[in-house]
Amino acid sequence: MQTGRGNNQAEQPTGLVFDIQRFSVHDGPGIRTTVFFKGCNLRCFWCHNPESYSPRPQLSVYPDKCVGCGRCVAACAYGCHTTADGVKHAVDLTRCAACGACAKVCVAGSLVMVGKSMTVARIMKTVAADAPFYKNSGGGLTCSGGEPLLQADFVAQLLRAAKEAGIHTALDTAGNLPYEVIQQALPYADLVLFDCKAMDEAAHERVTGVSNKRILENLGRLAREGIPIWVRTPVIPGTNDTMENMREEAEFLSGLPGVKRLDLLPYHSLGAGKYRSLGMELDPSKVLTAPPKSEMERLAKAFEGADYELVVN
Amino acid sequence: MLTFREKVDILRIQKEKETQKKLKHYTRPGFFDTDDKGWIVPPEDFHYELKPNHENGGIYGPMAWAENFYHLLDIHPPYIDPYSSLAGAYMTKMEWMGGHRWHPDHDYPELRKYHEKYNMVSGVGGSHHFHHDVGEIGFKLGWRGILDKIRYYQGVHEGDPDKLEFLKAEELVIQGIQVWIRHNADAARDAAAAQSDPDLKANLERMAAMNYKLIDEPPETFLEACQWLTWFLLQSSIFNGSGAGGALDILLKSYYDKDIAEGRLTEDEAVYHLACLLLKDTQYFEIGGTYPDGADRTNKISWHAIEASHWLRIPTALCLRIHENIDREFVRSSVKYMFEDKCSNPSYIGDRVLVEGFVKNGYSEELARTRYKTGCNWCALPGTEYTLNDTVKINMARVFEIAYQEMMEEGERSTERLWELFDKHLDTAIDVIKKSIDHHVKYAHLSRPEIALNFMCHGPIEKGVDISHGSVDYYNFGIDFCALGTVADSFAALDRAVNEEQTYTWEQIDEAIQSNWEGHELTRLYLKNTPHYGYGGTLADELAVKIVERLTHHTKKSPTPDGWNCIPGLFSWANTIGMGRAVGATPNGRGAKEPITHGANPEPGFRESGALTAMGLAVASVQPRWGNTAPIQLEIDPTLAKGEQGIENITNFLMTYCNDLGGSLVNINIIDRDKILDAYEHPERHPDLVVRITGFSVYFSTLSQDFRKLVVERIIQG
Repeated sequence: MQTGRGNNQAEQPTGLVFDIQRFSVHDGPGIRTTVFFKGCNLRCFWCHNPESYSPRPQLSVYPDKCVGCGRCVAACAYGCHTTADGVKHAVDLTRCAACGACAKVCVAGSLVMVGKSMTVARIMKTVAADAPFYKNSGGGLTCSGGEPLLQADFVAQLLRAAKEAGIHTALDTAGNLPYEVIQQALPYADLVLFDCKAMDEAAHERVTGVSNKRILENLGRLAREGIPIWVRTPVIPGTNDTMENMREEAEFLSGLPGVKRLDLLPYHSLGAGKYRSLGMELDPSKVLTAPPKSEMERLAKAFEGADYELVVN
Repeated sequence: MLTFREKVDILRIQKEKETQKKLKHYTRPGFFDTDDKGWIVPPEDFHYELKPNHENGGIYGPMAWAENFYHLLDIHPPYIDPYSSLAGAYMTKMEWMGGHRWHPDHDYPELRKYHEKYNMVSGVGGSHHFHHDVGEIGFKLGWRGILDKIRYYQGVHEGDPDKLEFLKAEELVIQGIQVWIRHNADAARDAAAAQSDPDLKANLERMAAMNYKLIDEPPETFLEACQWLTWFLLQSSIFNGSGAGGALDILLKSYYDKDIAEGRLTEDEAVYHLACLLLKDTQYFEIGGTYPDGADRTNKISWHAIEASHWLRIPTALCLRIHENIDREFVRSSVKYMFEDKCSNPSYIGDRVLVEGFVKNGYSEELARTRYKTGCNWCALPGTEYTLNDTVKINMARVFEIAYQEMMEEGERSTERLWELFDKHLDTAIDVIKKSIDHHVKYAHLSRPEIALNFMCHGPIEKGVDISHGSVDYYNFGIDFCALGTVADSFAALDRAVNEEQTYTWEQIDEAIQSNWEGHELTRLYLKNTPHYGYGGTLADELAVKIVERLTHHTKKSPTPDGWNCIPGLFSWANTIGMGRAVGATPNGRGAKEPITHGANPEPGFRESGALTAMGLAVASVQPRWGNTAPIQLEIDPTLAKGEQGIENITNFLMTYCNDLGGSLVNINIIDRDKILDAYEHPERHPDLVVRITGFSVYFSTLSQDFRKLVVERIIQG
C-alpha cells in the first residue's frame, strides 16, 4: 500500500483553525466551505462558538466518552489528569499547557484538541475539492471565526489563493479592528459578512464586552468601498430585540450603499455543551429561549422599505 | 362531489389502514423489510396452494408454472375501490407459496461451496430484475394482440416440442390475465349497480366498461393506458415479484397529449390517475432523463408524476433522471416536495455517468439513454436486455476476512501481503460468480421461466425461448459489491496500527479480533477512530478507490467463460444486516455479526459536519463507471432545506453530484431526529412515517427491530 504521508510544511506560515465546515449554507451564498479561525476580541454572552475565544489551541473534554483507560494520566507532563476511582478521570484545565499529548493517546474521543495550525495549501486542498459544489450554487470559501482578521495576514493569503483558483470568497467579521487591518483582506474578498449586534453603545459593551463605536465606523467606511456587504444581526432576547434598536439599525444602514442584504438571525442555545467541554462557566441565566417566528417577523418590520434584501431566518 | 385530490386523500387513509391490517396478517419477523408493496390482505376464505410437478415439491418448466398461474389468477379475488379510477389489486404472491426450487438435475455443489465461503448471493435461480417493453408491445397489441402473436409463433415452431410447450404456456398466462381482468370488470359492474353516490357510480361504470374493453383491446386513452399498465405490472408482481415500472413520462405521453388536445382529460385528472397507478404498487418508474438524441424529455407527465406522489405522501418508487439539460425548475420542485412530504420521494439518478459507462461496454449513446432506471439500484433496456440486476452480490467484508485469516495462518504478516491476498480472493469470488451466471443462463429456464415477462420482451415469443436462456439482444449481468467502507476502513486501521504508529502488533490485533474485542475495548476504539473512508484525503479514502479499481478490473478483464458481459456496481440492498452476520469482528472496530457498511456509503458518523459535501465527493470517487450504479444514501435533517434557499442548496447539490461529479444514484431520507427516535421506541405512534432504506422506501413501523435499529443508527450518526 502507498500511503503518501510525510509532507513537511513547517516552513510555511500557518493559521490557527478550529473547524472547516463543508456544505456550509448559512455563511454566504450557495454551498460553501467555511474556515473557522480561532481567537476573538468580542465576548458575546450568547456565543455558540466559545472555542473560538482563545487565540491558542485548547483542550476540549467530553467526560461521557471517557473509558477510564488512564493513558492521558501517563501522557500528561503537567499533571492535569488524575484518576479518582480508577474508572473515570478528572481534568484540571487550569494546569493545561495545551500540548496535545493527552488527546493524542485518547482513543475514546474524550479529549480533543481544538485549534489546528494549518497552511494555506492544506486548507486549499479541502476548499478546492469542494469546488464543483460552488459552481452550480454560486458558493465558495468563507473565512469566519472567532474573528478571522485577528490573523489578517494569513486570512488575506488564503482568500487570495482561493480567488486565484477562481473561487468566490467571503469574509465574516465582527469588525472590531483598526480599519487598516480590515483593508488587508479586502482586495481578495468578493463579499463581506458584517455583524451588527446592537446599536446602543452601552448595551453593546454590556453584552459583547466592547464598544460598538469603532465597529459602526468601520461598517460605514467599508460600505463605501464598493464591496457588497451582508449585515448579520442576531436577535438576542432582552438585549437587542426592541423595535427601537431595530429602527435605529435600519436608519443607520439606509445610508450605506454597499449593504446588499440584512439577515436577522434568531438566538439559539446550541453552544451550551461546548462551554462545559472547555471548562468554561456558562451563566444559566444567560441561556435564553429562542425568539419565536412571530417575534422575528415583528422586528423585521423595522426594515420594511429598505433597498437591500431582508432575510428573516 | 369530491375533488380528485380529496379522493386521493381517502385512498391514502385506506392505504395506511391496509398497512396496519397487513402487519397483523403477516407476523413473520423481517417479512416487511423490503419494498412497501401495494398488495392488500385477501379475504379470509381465499386460499391457494401450488400444485407441484416434482416429487421434491417444486414446480418445473413453463407449462407447470403457467397452469398454476392461470388457476391462481382465475380464483384471485377482484378488488374495486370506488375512489380509485383503476380496478385491481394483488393479494398474494407465488413467491410466498414455495414451489420455486432450482432443478435438482442441475445442482452446482462446487460453485455453492464458494458461494458459501465468500458469502455471496450468486444469482443462480434469480428472477425478473430486467425491464419489459410495455410501450412497444403491450400498448400496441393489447392482450388479444399478444395472444395472436403467441399463437402465430406456435405455428412457426410447431415442429419443436420444447418451444411449443413454452409458447402454449405463454398463451395460458395471457388467458389467465384476461380472466382476471374480466372478474374485476364484473366486480366493478356489480359495485356500480349497488352504488348510490352518482359520482362514484359513474366512476365504477366507467371502470367496468373500460375493463371489459381492455380484456382484448389495446388502450386508447390516458386512463386506459394507466389501467392496462396496472394489469401487466400487478400480474408480474404476483408471479415472481417483478417491480420494473418503466419510463412513465414516455410510456404515457401520446395518450396524454391526445386526451388533453381532445378535451377528454384535465391536468388534475391526469394527476389523480397517476396517483391511483402509483398507489397500486411500488413499481420503479423513471421520469426526466433524455430522448435518445440527448434532448430533455421532461414533459407534463413528469411534472404530474411528482405532483401525484406529493398528493399521495406514501412510499413510491419514482426516480428522477438528472442530466445537464434538464429543466432545473423540475428538479427543484421535486426537492421542495421531498422536504415538504418527508416521504423520501423521489430518488435521483445521474444520466452522465450511466450513459458514459454503458457506452464503454460497446453500445451507442442513443441506446444507453434508453436504459431506464426501473429497479432499486438498476437500469435496463426495455424489452431487449437480460441483467439479473440486484441479484448477484459479493460480500467483500467476508472476502477480506478470508484473506486476513489466510495471512495470519501463513505467517507473513504485513498490510502489503494482506492486500495481495484480498485481491486474490476477490478475483476468485468474481470468477466463481461469472461461472455461476453461466450456470444460470444454461438451466434457469428449466426451473422457473419468466412466463409473466417474456411476452413483453423482444425475442422470447419470436424464438420460443425463455429470456434467461438467450432470446433477447443484450445480456449484461450486474455484479454488486458490498462492504466497501468496512473493508477500506479495516485496511486503513491496520496500516495505522502496525505501520504508521506501530501501536499494536499483528498478534495483539488478532487476539482482540478473535475475542470479538472482549477485554480489548481500547484496541477497538483505537482502530475504530482511524480516519474513515468518506472523511476526505484519508488513507481509507485512497484505499476505497483502489478497491473499486481492483473489483472493476477483475469484473471487466474478461466476460464469463460462456462469453456474457458483466458490469460492476456497489450496492448492498437490504443485505447489510445479513451479510454482517456472516462476518466476524473486523479491524475497523466493527463487532462480529454487526452490519457491514451500506452500499458505497461510508460508516455512519464518519464526520461531524459537512457530511453532504464530503460524502458526495467520496461516493463519486468510487463509482465503477461501467453503466451500473453505486448509490449514495443521504440522511438529511429537515432544517437543512428550510426556506427557498435551503431547497436551492439541495437542488444544487444534486445537480453538481450528478452532472459534475458523475454520481450515479442518490437516495435521500428527510427525517428529524426526535421523530425517528420516538418512532423507534413507539412505532405505533408513527404509522405514517416513511423512511428510505436503499432504493426503496417503506413505512418505518413495518420494519423488523433489526432494520429499525439500523435505520435509526444511520440517521442519527449519519
